[in-house]
Order: sequence, then structure tokens, then C-alpha cells
Amino acid sequence: MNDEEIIYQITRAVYRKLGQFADRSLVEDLVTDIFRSIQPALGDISPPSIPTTDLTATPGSSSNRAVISIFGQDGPGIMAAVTHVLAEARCSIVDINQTVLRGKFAMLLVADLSNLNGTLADLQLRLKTEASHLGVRAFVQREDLFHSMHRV
Amino acid sequence: MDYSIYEILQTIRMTEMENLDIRTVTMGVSLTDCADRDINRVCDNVQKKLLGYAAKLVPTVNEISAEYGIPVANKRLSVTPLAQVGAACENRDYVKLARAVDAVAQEIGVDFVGGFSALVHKGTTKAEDAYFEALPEALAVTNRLCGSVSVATTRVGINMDAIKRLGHTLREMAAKTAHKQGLGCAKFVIFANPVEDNPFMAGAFFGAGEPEVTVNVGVSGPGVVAHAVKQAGDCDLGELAEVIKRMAFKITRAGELIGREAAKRLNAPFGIIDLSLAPTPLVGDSVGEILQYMGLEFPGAHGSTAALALLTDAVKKGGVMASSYVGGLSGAFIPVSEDHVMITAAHNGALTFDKLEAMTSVCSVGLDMVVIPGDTPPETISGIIADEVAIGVMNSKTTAIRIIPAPGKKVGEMVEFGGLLGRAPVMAVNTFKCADFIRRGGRIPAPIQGLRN
Repeated sequence: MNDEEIIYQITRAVYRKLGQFADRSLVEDLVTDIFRSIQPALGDISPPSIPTTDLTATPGSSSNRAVISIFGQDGPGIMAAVTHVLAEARCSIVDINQTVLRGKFAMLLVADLSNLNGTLADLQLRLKTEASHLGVRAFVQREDLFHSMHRV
Repeated sequence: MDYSIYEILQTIRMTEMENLDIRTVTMGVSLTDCADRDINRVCDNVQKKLLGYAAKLVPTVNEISAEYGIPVANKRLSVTPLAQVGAACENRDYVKLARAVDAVAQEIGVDFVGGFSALVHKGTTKAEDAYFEALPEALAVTNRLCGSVSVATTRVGINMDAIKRLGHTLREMAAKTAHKQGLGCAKFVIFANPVEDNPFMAGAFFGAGEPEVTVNVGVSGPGVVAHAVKQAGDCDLGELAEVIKRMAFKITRAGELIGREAAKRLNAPFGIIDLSLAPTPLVGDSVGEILQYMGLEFPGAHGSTAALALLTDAVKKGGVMASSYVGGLSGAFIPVSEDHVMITAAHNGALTFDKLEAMTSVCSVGLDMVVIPGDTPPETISGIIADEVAIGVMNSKTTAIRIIPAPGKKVGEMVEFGGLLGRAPVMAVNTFKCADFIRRGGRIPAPIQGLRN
């Protein structure tokens, strides 16, 4: 964020508190004072000390879907447990495919993470913990990995 | 469902059982604007700049790795050749600069930082003379810093004066780290035709034509290719090349995805993906194993050069199909100490030094992590370097030399480096002399294939 943007943000915040009809010169004084007091903390922004890019931002991944794969010995309650965790995390199920082959359970599930409650790391941890209680293995991976690897 | 069970299982098997990993996410940072007359200010500028760009590198990459379920083995930095960064100083204290870069690498938490480098393929400047003086000490007193020197290109020929000097430098470097079996030499690479965007260590540096900052990715996966070759069974070599190519495509795609995601989250442009089959000492993560599955009893047997040529070419073709930004070295690495099959082959006599040199003419790097007797004369070391760079120069390809004259060690003794660097038997070198040839010095002219304008 450069100086102009900072001043703009402060001005907006002051107007929000004081209302649209606040005295303009008072606002200017306040903004000048605030900016001067925080300026030293902004540090030396001349090159080469600070990059021009904003490294604090963490934009989301390009994919909003995850592939959840569950493998292991078949047993009661696996599907129920997994879908319960997903419901709690506010993830909707886009697609699901389940097979039992010679007693081995394999479930593949595509979940939409648009309304994910918490981080993907949290969801991974909860699913892996649940899976270990049930004696199966869970893998949670962003969907675009599979698209990249298996589609031209 | 958009993907079959087979495809999803294959992906999971690659990461869980076949050691597919992103070997490195390497952020390249230009340090050209850190120059100053005062060495202390240069150190300060460099540290501030690296912290500014790379402070979040390690946590960001770890986060992406978890989200995609693909391990990222290393997080690294590459920087502008430090010989150039310190050139303007009145007091060219390159050891001080080396320490400063090493300290900031530790603070950021990266595994290695590459770029204690100089490009001297046509000759040395006064600053580069000071760099050469500091080189053995700088790599002995730092832990994460790696260095490299370019001594030859197809365009300008071979700087034999620099090669003559490096024979002595390597011996000194080994002596200064004798208590660690000459480990300093394991962090130093000599190049012909170096690439400016290589993400792999120890030879990474950030070239003069590079932008302010980029994210480059190195992907490995010899285990994945070995499994595919094994599964292919008794097919002919044309079919085998096709199998390797398909697997290289998938590995490259996974790598590019991770690289682009890392670049996006770090607000830096994506540079290149380097698809290089780079082994580790682990069983199931070996290029030598691939050669064995192809039908060789051990690497070094007759047929090894042909097998490696097929492998390197198929890997490149699969990679190029998968991504428009394949760069770096891309191909197959054949380090000795980092590959358990190569270690055994060197130990049981299947792989000799001369056969290894022949194989490097078709691999993507060169003589890598080769341990030679500690008393090998400096001129002989220079001769080894000259031979290897000649292969690169005449074939318009990168070749590299990372050899360790292990102090006090004789042929056949085992040298342990530990970790990713592994262990290797001391290999015999030709003991006939080449000193009179090396002593001539000068510059071997560029070959005719360098004059392509």
C-alpha cells in the first residue's frame, strides 16, 4: 500500500465516524496528524529495502473444489462420518463415487469449498482424524491438481 | 465424476509410494540494486531485500503443499551472482557478504541459497579475483550458501586460466572443510553454458537477464518413472520412451500447478519449471533404478549411455508437451553419492570414472557429487574440469562439475556426507599427468558451432 492509498483509507475511516457533514478542515487536520504519527512505523519504502508488492495478501487458490479420497477396510458409518464433517464445514458435495472391492472400501468425493467454514487445513485435519478413528485413510487435495495431471 | 478412480489412485500412489515430490520451489531475487561502496551497506541492503520478498516463502509453500497433498522437499533462494553485487565495494570482503546472505537464509528458513557465483567464461575482473580468493573460506564458514562459477560457453570458448586456478581452489576448499570430508566442495559447481533460471542446488543463481523476482520450480520423480518402466514390462525401446514421456507430462503438470500457485500467493511472476529426475539416497527415488528396469545390470554397463540418452530425451519431450515454460536444466541428473544404485555401481566397479564422464554427455548436468582421492594433484582436477566443460561447449549443452577431493581418503574408501548429499566411494582417476597441458592457460577458442549468427 503506498502513501496515497493509506491517506485515502484514513480519510474514509474518519468520515465514516464523523458523518458526511463533518467539517472539512477538521478532517484534513485529523488525517494529517494520524498519517504523521504512523509514518515512522511504515518504515523506509525506498528501494531496495521493501518490495513494491503487497506480501501480506493471501489470495485464494484458483480452485474452489477439493477431491476427497477415502480408502481402507469397509465398515459401517464411513460415509456418514465423512458427510457429517463436510456438513459442519459448510461444504456441499458436488459428486460422489463409492465402490467396495473384495472388502476394500474406496470413496471419491468432490466437495465445493466456496462456503468453507474455516481453512482447508482445518478440514483436512478433521477428516484425517475422523478417518483414523474409522481405520481408513483420507486424502484431501485441491481438484485442479487432477485436472492438470490427467487432462491435456 | 470428472476423474476415474484409476486417475485419482495413480496420483495418490505417486506421492505416497513413489516419492513424487516438488523438489524445490526456488525464489529468484535480483540483488543488482543492493550495490554500494561500503560493504556493510551492501550486506544490509541484501538482507532487507531478501527479507522483503521471501519472508513468507516457507509458510506459503508449506500451505500449498498441504492443500494439494504433494510434498515440497525444499524451499530455496537464488540471487544475482554475488561477485557482481560486491564489485563496487572499496573493501571487497566477500566472506562478509557470504555470511550476511547465509544469516538471512537461516532467518527466512530456506534450505539453501544459491548465488555465491561468478561468470568468468571469458575472463576475470578485479572483483572476481577477490571473489576467487574468498571462495574456500566463504563456503567453509557458511551452512546454507552455495556457489558456482561459469568457466566456458559455446559462444566464447573455455577459460583455461580460471580452470587452472579452480584445481587449486577445490583442493583448498576441501582442506578448509576437511573435518566434514570436504563438504565445502559439495556446495560448489563449475559450469559450462550455465542456465540463469536453474532452481536446483548447488548451481542455482539468478542471471543478469532475469526480472526483479520470480518463482522457479524444480520437480523430480525418478520413483514414478521407475514404476512406469517396471510396469511397461517387456516392450521395445520406442514404446518405453512413450511410457516415460507420458509420465514426465503428468509430473510436469503437477509441478507447474504448484509453481503458479506459489507465484500467485507470493505476488511474484512465475518463471520456469525444471523437470529433472533428481535422485535422493532413498530406495525408490533413484535414476540408477530406472536404468536397471530398462535392462542394465548396473549403471556403467555397456549400453548405459544409450539408455540414459533415451531417458533424458523422453523426459524433456514429456515436459515440453506439458508446459510452455520448461527451463532450467530439465532432464536426468546422475549424481553418484545421492543415488543408492549409483553408489553400489561405483562401489562394485560397474561404474568407472571414465564411463560416468561418457554418460554425462547425454544427461542434463555432468559429473555430480563424485568423490576422488584427496591427494589428486590440482592440475589433474583442472584436467577433469576441462574435459567436462569441453563436452558441454562442443555439444551446446550445460555441463557441470561437482567433485570432492576428500582429504586423506584413498580409492575405494567410503565418504559419508549425510542427508540428501548421501555417501560415495572414492573413485579412481587417471593418474597419468596433464600438468603441462593445464599450465599453458589461455582461452580455448569458441567452437565453430558457436558462430551461428
